Amino acid sequence: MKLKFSSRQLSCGFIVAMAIAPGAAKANDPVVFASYGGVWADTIKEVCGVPFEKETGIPVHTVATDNSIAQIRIQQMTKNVQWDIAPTEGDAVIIATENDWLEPLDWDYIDPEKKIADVGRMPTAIGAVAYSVAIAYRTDKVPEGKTFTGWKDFWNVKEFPGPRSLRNTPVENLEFALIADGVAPAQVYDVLDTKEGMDRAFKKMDEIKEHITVWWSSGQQPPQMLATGNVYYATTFNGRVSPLQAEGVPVDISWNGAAIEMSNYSIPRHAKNKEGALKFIKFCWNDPKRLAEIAKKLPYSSFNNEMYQYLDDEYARKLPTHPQNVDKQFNYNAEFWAKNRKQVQARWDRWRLQ
Amino acid sequence: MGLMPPSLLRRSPVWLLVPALLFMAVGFVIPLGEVAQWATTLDLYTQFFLPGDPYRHIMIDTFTLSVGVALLTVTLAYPVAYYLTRTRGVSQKLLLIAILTPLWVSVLIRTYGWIVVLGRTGVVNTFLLAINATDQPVQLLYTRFAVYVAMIQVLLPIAVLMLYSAMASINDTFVKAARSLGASPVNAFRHVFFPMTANAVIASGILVFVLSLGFFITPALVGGPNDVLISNVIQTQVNETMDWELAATLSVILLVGGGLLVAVLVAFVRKALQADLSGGVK
Repeated sequence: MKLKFSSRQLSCGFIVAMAIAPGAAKANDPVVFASYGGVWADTIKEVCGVPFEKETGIPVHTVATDNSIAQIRIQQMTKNVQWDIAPTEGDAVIIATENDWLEPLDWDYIDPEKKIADVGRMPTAIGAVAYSVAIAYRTDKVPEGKTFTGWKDFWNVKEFPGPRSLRNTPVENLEFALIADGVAPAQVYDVLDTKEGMDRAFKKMDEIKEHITVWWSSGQQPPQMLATGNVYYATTFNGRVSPLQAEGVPVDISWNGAAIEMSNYSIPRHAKNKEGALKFIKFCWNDPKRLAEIAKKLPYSSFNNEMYQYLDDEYARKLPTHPQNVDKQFNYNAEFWAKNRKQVQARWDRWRLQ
Repeated sequence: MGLMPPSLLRRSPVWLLVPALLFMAVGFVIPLGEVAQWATTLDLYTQFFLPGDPYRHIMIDTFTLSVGVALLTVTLAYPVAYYLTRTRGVSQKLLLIAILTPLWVSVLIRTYGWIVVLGRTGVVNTFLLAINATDQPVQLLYTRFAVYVAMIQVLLPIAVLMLYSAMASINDTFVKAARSLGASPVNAFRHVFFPMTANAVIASGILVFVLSLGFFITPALVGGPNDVLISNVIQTQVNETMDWELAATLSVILLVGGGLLVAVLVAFVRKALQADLSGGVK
């Protein structure tokens, strides 16, 4: 019997097999981690992704996406689940859980010692960070002798003149309108959940409507507009303010009446690497040292409270859940919006055109 | 092409279309069918045509804007393309480079460029303040004006190239013949040159119109509160409220409306140029 391969081909093949073998022997499927990209994704990759791969040999592929819930839906519909970990905020968790698009999380594995605060433990999602939607404003454009205190002042175009910007969505804006109208932040949803409350919010929005120069849709717009001076007062995600200040732009954040929201991560049903995803979730979001490191880079709080032991006060003060900041704000109510988004959005679209 | 007997190919060159048609079928027609499946709720259509429906208002606004952009872009592109046919050598190549290079820069970056130029602390306002034409920055950004400017700038190279390629193939002896028969330059242009470019004008106008219908980044970034376009609405419905039935319905209405409008306009223009297009060389 003649050998089909020459001895040279065999030895080459052998060497190549030796090179591949260690990788093949571990059979490590990657974990596909989807997030909203940008600085956040880079931070997670640096603080969690690279060390995770070093320790477990499982590579982490970061994927950037513009939205989560529509993607999750389409992946489930076409039975082509591309992500192992998907971002889910607010009402996205509720909608996705109702539709059975998410795997239940194994909390005994992720957090057997119950270190993570209750608010961060959901059956189908883990709270990754808390961030705030707050007013950022140009400190050099505030009139002499006045202090900008919050939503009442945002609505007060006479004493605090200047171009303004809000996000193009009813979500949070209606709550802010009620706060400007005198409702206490803690009661905002009790009022908004009634017909009179909803009408009151829209009526208050009528007052500010003509003074809004831009209705922003992308998170990068407000910092841009504030930096160039095209807008003096805008809502933005709190994490975007510190980089502006670091660049020397005279801008500050107002925590009064801001909305605290949670950014969560979930595992979609039929994810290709569920075990790897669980390991990564535990590795990244239940390790206080890592969470402190993330918070140093981007001022977003996490839910393992031990992280504060590892965080200097100068960073801790910038976090939405710092004692100095947390009581001035209200918690975004995901259930309310999951229930009412469609109808309110239709009313909002009509209102925008009047 | 060795699969088909040469006689068949010679008889019916429509076989050459098959690869492109297959590609279109798989990449365009089938996905369109999938979207149309979501657009079968009759209620949403009737709702659209009720008075006061905000989406109809936005849809009409989008169409008006797109028609305006198409008209202005083609009007601006025509003289540029004509000039391109009249120059030669280095100056022609330089002009071509100047027109083509922006096409290779991302739309996002070009739009951001306008934020820098038109903003309160931007180039235009700094100039106006410096020559004391005004003592307060003029609101140029976040206006319908800014949307027009940015969209025309993005679409201009496309119109120029289409018109140029049509004009370059026109033999200039026709115009010379008209002149020698006593026509004034204006009449020679109007009755001889322009009708020969009419098809290209229509084609580039349609292309610019259709492209503008789909714009959403540019109006979102430089437009004001009243510059919401139908593509922004559809995007919100797909991504945030997940009302895919509404999104698909609006998309179908957009497609059908756009197609109808184009057909009507083309027929109208062809009729208007009937006298000049018939007879002689086409």
